[in-house]
Amino acid sequence: MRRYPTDDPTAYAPPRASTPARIRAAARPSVRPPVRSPVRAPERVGRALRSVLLIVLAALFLVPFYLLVRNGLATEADITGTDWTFFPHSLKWSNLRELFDDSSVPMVRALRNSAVIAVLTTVGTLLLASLAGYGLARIEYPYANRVFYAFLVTLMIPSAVTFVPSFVLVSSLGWISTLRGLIVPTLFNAFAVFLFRQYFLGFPRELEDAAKVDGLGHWRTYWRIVVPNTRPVFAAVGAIVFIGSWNSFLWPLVIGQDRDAWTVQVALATFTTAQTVNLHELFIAAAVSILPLLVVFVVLQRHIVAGAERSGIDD
Amino acid sequence: MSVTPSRAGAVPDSRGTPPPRTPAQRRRALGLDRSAWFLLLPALIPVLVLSVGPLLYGAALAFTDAQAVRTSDTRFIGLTNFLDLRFDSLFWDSFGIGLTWSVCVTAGQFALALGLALLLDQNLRLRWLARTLALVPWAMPEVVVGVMWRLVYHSDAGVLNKTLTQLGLLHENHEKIDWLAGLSYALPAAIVVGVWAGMPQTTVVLLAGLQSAPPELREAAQLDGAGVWRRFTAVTWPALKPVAVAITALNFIWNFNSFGLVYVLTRGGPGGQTRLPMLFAYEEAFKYGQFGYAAAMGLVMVAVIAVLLTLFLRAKLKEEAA
Repeated sequence: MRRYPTDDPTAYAPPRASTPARIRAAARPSVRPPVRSPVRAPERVGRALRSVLLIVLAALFLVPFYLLVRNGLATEADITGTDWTFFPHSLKWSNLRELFDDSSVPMVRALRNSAVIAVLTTVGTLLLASLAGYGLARIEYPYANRVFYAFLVTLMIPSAVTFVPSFVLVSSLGWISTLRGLIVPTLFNAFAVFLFRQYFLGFPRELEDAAKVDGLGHWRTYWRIVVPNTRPVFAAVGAIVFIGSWNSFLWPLVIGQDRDAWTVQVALATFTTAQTVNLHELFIAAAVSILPLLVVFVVLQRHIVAGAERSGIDD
Repeated sequence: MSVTPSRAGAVPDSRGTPPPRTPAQRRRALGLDRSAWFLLLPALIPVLVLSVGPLLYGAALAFTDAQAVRTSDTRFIGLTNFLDLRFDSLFWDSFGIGLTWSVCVTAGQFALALGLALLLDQNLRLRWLARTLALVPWAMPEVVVGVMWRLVYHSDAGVLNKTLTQLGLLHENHEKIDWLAGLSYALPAAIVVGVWAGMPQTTVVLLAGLQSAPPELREAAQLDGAGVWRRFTAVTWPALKPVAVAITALNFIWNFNSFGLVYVLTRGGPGGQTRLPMLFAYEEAFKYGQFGYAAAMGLVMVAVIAVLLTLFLRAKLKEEAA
């Protein structure tokens, strides 16, 4: 079973890449050697218990999401009433309409801002980070490793030190409450560079060497050979960056000061502390705000797994 | 996420280039190939401008009286901000809260994640299901997690109070507990949310670490009659330890810098009981407009984190050497 890339950075550690996946798969015994002794009864009970425990844990992680939707589609009385039930008496889809019609919450505008920011940030980061990752993985500078470690260190710089000076810099550029101010400072993502570098280290050099023999430089080799053959890592990193951008909160809160520049997260957070808050409206808003994430998650997960299986370039 | 620089950095050049002979080859080997720098520049410039720049600028700001709304020019005031910080009891309260929060959340995340990862590692059939479910909270925005948990903790509409009432632990006519507003409940309640939100990611990283341990070793140990605990301490833990140390250190940093979750849950209340250092710095900078002071706070926070982490990592390394 192959681990899929998003959830496991170590998967990007250079695999034994010179061997095609097919050969690797053939060398691996498909069935585990039968070392296990006949299963004893207590062991079987233990296994069943473990499964139950897992299911309970999984439920624990899903219940809050269920509650979000349940309360989002309930009446106010259904949420706070004493006759609260786990399943609501009826679903009130008109809550959705109410949310988008409510002029006190700029939900439509906020959704659009978040979408524009997340898409542009993802595209920009993929471009910058993949080039940097390729440069760090492939080209033998005398200091390539040191540059790489410097990149890693920036992962550790906490936002506590950078958010005030970044704000002062952005405001001196006059970028407060603008898309530029919300996007540009977030374009450098050390983690994305790290993932790309690890993946490119495992990319078969034979392909690039062939391109060099054909007279392509680094630049064109990168665009014509490397990028088309490494789509899975672009999908995986793209998903991570998109989700991170959509979810980011502190920076949009600080920079998006005008209502018109609010992202979904800022709008929601403001919503929670509004004087008079309709609970059902708050919860339906929260549910709506995670829909794009679910879409990205579902669409790209399939893409990622399929891509990961092809990454050995077998055929 | 687990970052394994030592392994990643030590990857040998698989090409096995012969020693360079012609001048052109030698130049290339020395990294003087121009197009190579061309590839790296798009990343080097942003790292300088977006990461190192603000860091240096922040260090400079900490020694000034920069403010949001100014009537006079910003002046260099030396160590004044840091001297003020020394006697700012609100700051130190917030610092203590931050430490309690990060230690508890990091420990809780690790303990639960380790248990879950061990479970998942053994149960092949359900692993995909649990992994997908565990990843869902990972992808959730902090704000939404905060909203969800406000609902769980809500005094009237909260699932927690309702469940406690139904179980008979809380009297129907009694005053309901307002978990996020009670002076003694708020921080523990927030810590539970922190653990819940961060645990899945830790689980996934630990699971990856577990899978890098050779299963043959464990099976051999089992054949030799080693019990569950012995197998864990002798085989599993040594293989897992580097990953565990790395993720614990990273979690600690992230948790100490946590902002959005608690901002949505409590805004630092009640009475500052959950005012994490980042919330404090945020208020100082954007409520009171004290940029210089907030920058000084950031520097102190980073210095303390750096010292704590160095001590932690050194202790771990010493343990390893012994």
